[in-house]
Amino acid sequence: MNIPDDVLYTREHLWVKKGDVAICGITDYAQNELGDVIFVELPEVGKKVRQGDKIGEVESIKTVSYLYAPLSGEVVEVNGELDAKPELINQSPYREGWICKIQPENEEEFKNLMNKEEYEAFLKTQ
Amino acid sequence: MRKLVRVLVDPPLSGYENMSRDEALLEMGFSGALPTLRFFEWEKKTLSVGRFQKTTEIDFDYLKNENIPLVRRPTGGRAILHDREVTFSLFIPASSFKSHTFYYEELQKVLTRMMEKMGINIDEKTESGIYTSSPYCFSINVSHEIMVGGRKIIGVAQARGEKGNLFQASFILEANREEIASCFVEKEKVSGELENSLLTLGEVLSPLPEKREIYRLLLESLEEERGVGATVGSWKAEELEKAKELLSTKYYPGSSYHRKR
Repeated sequence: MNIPDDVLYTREHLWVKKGDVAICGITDYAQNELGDVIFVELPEVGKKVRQGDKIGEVESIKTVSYLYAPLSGEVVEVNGELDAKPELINQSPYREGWICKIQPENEEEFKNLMNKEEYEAFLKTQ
Repeated sequence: MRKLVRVLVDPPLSGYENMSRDEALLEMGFSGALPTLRFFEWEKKTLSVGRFQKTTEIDFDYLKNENIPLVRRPTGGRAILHDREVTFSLFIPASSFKSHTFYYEELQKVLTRMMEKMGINIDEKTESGIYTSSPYCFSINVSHEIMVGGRKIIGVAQARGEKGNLFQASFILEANREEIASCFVEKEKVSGELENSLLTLGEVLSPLPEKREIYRLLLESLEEERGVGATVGSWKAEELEKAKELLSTKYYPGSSYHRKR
């Protein structure tokens, strides 16, 4: 299982990469547990979200799973390629399969996220 | 302490009310609450489609002429014409993120035992995806389906939220295959698929048991297979309030939600 050390993680199995804007997606662990993703409902660009809000949904085999915002802020870009190729989430969860970019409004919220070691420990409880 | 499931038995309701109530279970899932098994019925024949299923596959003129409402489920999967069937939903509060197959496997064990109690043996192995492009639930087979002689007899789909997992299941007692196929644009194709894919309980068991008897067998199987006892419960006021809100904002008749794709 791939758990990069250059991103942070939520308890809902999203990863977040810090930068001018925060890029987020589904972790390798989660994509594996989901199975083959066949549809992704992305958040709307411009939408203001709070950390923990429902921002989208993915459907894998007969199963719909909700996605929760890793940070508060504005959604500034979504990965439109997932409309035609939802399988990118399975094939490349940390690169081509990214979900959206959020302009964070509160840097303090990054403290609520886990680093690689903390996420590894969290997965042991799952 | 003995594990328990709260059992709700609802009267026949519209598809819109039924889906609102199921989503309310998924949204409300109180911390530390019991799992909920909800038996429900449809006040009229209704076609349900999966959460992200395209409705371009549906023959809306036929539905209108036959006065069959269409409702979108909160769970995944493909369409089901709900008529003479046993329908139930199961909400399992969960704090961990299990594999998509985890609860399907557990549910399969319980349903297999229930079928055995009726004298019906379930296929040990199921072939995945014989008609992968079909718009109809019972023509699609994935792992952990409940199948007899290569045909699907119970359809199950899942939604998982922050507070747990919701399953919706449909156990067809009797069906009119021509009528099912008529609900879709590609009638002949679906009709052909149905001959090989759908099995109703009435085709393998006669006389058909009463619905209440099937409820009882399911609860008995849950107890034997998972050690979970049943306690007849009632809706919490907050859950019904949530269902009412979902009905008025999302699931109401004519809502664009049902035809959004």
